[in-house]
Amino acid sequence: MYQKFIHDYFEGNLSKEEVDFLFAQLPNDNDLKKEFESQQDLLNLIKQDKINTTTPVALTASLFSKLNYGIPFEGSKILSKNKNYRWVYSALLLLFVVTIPLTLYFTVNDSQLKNSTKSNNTTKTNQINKNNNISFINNQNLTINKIENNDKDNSLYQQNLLLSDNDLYKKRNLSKNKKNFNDKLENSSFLNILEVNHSNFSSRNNEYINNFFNNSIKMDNNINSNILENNVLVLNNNLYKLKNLEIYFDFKNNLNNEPNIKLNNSSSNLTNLNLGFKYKLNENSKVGFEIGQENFTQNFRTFDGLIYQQSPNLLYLGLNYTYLANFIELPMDAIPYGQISALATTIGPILKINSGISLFANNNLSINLGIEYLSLYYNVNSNIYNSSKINVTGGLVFKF
Amino acid sequence: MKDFSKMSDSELTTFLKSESKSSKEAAFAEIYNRYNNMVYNYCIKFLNNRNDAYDVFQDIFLNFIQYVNREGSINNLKHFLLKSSRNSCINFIKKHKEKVELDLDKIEFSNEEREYDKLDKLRYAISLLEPSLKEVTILRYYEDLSYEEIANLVNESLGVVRNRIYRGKKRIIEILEKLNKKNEKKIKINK
Repeated sequence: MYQKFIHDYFEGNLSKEEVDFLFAQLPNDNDLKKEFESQQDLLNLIKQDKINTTTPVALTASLFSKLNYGIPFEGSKILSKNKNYRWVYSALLLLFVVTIPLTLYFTVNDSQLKNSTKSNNTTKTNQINKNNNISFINNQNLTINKIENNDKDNSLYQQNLLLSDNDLYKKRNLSKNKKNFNDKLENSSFLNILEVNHSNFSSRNNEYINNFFNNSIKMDNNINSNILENNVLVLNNNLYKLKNLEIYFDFKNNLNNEPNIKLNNSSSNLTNLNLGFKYKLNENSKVGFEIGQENFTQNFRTFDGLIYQQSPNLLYLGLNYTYLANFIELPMDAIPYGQISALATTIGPILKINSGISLFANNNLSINLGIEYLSLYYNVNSNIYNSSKINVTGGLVFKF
Repeated sequence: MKDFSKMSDSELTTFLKSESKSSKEAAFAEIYNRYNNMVYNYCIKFLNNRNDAYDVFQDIFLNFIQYVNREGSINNLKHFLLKSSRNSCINFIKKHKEKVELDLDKIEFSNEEREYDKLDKLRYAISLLEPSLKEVTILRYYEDLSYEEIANLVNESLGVVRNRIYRGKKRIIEILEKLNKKNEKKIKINK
């Protein structure tokens, strides 16, 4: 009986007189009062339901992913509430990878120190004659005329060692020559003539020349000063460090992107690239810093059961460690390498493993060809997910 | 730097056809921010199934983008999205759901063991309304539309809309009372 009347009141359809009449009757009529409270409760309940019903974040993310749009601020704010923890994960991964080259570096230094001590002991019997003579031939070739051993039991002989342009920047060949030279030093007295073309002293090989003189032969000050004056060998320590630096640029073609390859189709070959520099620690090891961009498909199930997919372009930065397998002989002056990188993004850390070959075009330029595996780790609603991908990589390396 | 939050709906719609991807994304994000809850409320209440609502919800916005790219402009964005929501939900029900006549004596929750709160009961009651009552109830009480706006949207006269809103509300109260009585009986038996 009163239902329609009270409904009209709540809908604002009653006149002022009707409203006055309603409120005059309410205290005296229990049925009217009950009906009034029932409708009022319903409207309050609907208001409460309205406040509690909002679009789930996962649904928003799913829609924006389908549109290939970035997730709007409100959504991303909720999704990234654990962002600080992600940086902690990234930092831990970085720390882990950084310890590898540092450990190797100090291990190598330690062994070099031991070798040096050993070498100093042997020089007592292999003293170099003070009459050593360094002269420069017209085309600025360096000639070591005479190196004598005091051990008279060994026969004196002369060897011409000519290192050609190609020989010098080929590590293995130089290593071999160095080894031969050392063998001869250890076993017999000899007179060596070493002709080294000026232009052959590339940055890449300075360390060998440096080691060659510092470790294998003890030379007097005159020799060193002559070398410095003629700019044939650059032994300045700071410059030596600079010459171990190289800059590289890689571009990639996505081979496989798990778990959803389809989402990555929109990205071009130039979507994924990186740039960095490396510092040579020793003959086999380099550490470097890199920045880059990677299109990474994410795929996970959220708390409400919705499968969430997105494929953002992630900017990253991090450190890497490269190992050069010089002992493996390949045609075309190629050297195999392996690289491990720890990278940080705003979503989570990336672990990258890269393997390939370096082809040396000349002293200052080489080409890298390889394949890499990347794994991105990210956190959604306190669950850790990971997406992986495989790239074919190509790049250029410029050396100082 | 454009402040999209201060733009009108029609200005934002214009940006959806922009060459700049960032402007397009920002304009859509602002439109979405304004109307996503309205569309979601309509879908979830009308379909009463989360997965179905998710599918229809996404289709509505994807169709909206396609429509803007095709036609260029929309005069009344709120009306367009509500109309699109209504049509999508009705089409979905026609395709996927069988028509069920409501029998108040057979009303019960699927899981009798679970404790249902007032909001659960309200949602359940709305889900049991027949579509013509349900849509006007949602539009009136969840979307705060006037009788005229609702009449325009559902293509019915003002009188029909008024009557349906009243009947919808009355039916919800009846269902809630029924559910409460069942709950009281259950509590007495448990005691």
